Amino acid sequence: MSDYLDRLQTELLAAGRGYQERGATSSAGAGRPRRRLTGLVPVVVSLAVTVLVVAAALGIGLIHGASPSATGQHGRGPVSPAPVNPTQPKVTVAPACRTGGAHPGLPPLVMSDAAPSAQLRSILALAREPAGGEGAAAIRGFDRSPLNVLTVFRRYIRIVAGGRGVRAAFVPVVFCQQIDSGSGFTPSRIRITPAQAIIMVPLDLAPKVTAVTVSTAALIRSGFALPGLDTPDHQWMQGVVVPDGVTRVVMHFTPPFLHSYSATVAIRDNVGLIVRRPDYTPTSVSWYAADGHLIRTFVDRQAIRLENCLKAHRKNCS
Amino acid sequence: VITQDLRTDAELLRATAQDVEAFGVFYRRHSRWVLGFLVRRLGDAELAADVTSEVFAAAFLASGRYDPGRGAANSWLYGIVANQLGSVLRRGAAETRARRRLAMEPVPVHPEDLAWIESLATAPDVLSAMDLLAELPEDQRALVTARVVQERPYDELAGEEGLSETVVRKRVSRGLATLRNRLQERGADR
Repeated sequence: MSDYLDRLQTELLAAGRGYQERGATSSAGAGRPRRRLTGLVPVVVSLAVTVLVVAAALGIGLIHGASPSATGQHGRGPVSPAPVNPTQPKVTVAPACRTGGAHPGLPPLVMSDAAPSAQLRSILALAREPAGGEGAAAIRGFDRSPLNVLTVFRRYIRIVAGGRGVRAAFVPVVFCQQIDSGSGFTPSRIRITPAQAIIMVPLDLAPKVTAVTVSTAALIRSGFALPGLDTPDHQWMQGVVVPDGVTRVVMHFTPPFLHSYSATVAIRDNVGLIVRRPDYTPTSVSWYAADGHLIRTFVDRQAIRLENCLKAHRKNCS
Repeated sequence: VITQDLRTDAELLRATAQDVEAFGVFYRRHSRWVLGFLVRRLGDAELAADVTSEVFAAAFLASGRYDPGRGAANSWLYGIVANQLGSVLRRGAAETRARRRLAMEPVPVHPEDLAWIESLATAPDVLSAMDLLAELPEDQRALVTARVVQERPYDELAGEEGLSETVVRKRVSRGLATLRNRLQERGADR
């Protein structure tokens, strides 16, 4: 075993830091408008096309499906000094969420005895009524970094068993939420700001991770607050977060070329957990009350369109 | 504490301008397959290491220009790898432009490194599937690579691609089915 890639990373990041520091202190090149490169673009695109042709001729096959323009955009080496990229969206980061530069890391994690926000309290008994004290101990050492968790409301953590020996903690937190605005894939503006949500922390999986999906109040109301992740045995650990009054959730799956099926999740204190087949996402989610009546059904129309398209053996179903 | 960074590649590249460590996470996800792929293609461990350095230096410099609307980040990186590879095949040596711009010191390749890098060229499974992978349609190739090679979660890929998780799973499934068929065909050819 060699540590070559580690050494390369160390050198690369050190050089990158130096480059950015030089860029930040130098006016030459920094913030240079991108259109100044226009004169070079035909040359670069021509070069990229040449590379594509050469690569194809040599059977490289790496760039199959990539358009010359895309490769011209992404694949070329840099052609002009531009230490601070002018095409970056405008990013506004709240002070609590700043990392890097003068802020080497997030502030220390706060384990708060306070209650979550009124917004969460208004829809979740979980956020109003403290639970037993074992939650904070259970999540000790959880990875706060993927979501940049700032605060844990430790008295309100619920631990749920999902069968097959799988457990998860549902944890009210303040985290750094990224809100993109603008059209298309490239946001024109990004705001990173503290927000409250419920996160799911798997307790018995290694490595310890936090579910990527955060259940904000808006997502919970939408019916699709469904945090989940793969388990080591290739199942899907499916959490559910629902508002007060829901005691059972039925997820309906309509996989193409297979029989439709449903999975039921029992809810307690607004949350539930099951382990299910990993293959599909639900096309609909239904909420039921304690007396059995249907409260509401939410439909993922995009998923249904896809399933119907696949069933019709059409191509290009995405 | 295990620090598994669950940010998407697009998020990491976007964060690089403010946080060099974000690029480090991106590098750790992709450096092994880039090096393995290059040594397979070039047949020279030292040259492959040299090109890998240049690939990631170029990727660092270009990270702010990455546009998720034009394709997945691994496709973008494929583009850089292909570009550098084409340059090597024309010039007979790795480019150094990006590393010079970064003022990056050379990273020596020791004899024990060479043996390990060479071993990547003949590593079974994933790397041997790379050639077949390159033949898949773009939408499937990028997702199969991300899911199977880099072991990234479906929901992360769905977020990065702007697709539903169902679509991502379907594309990965179709890509794997194609790979299986082609592997069987090759097996039958032998």
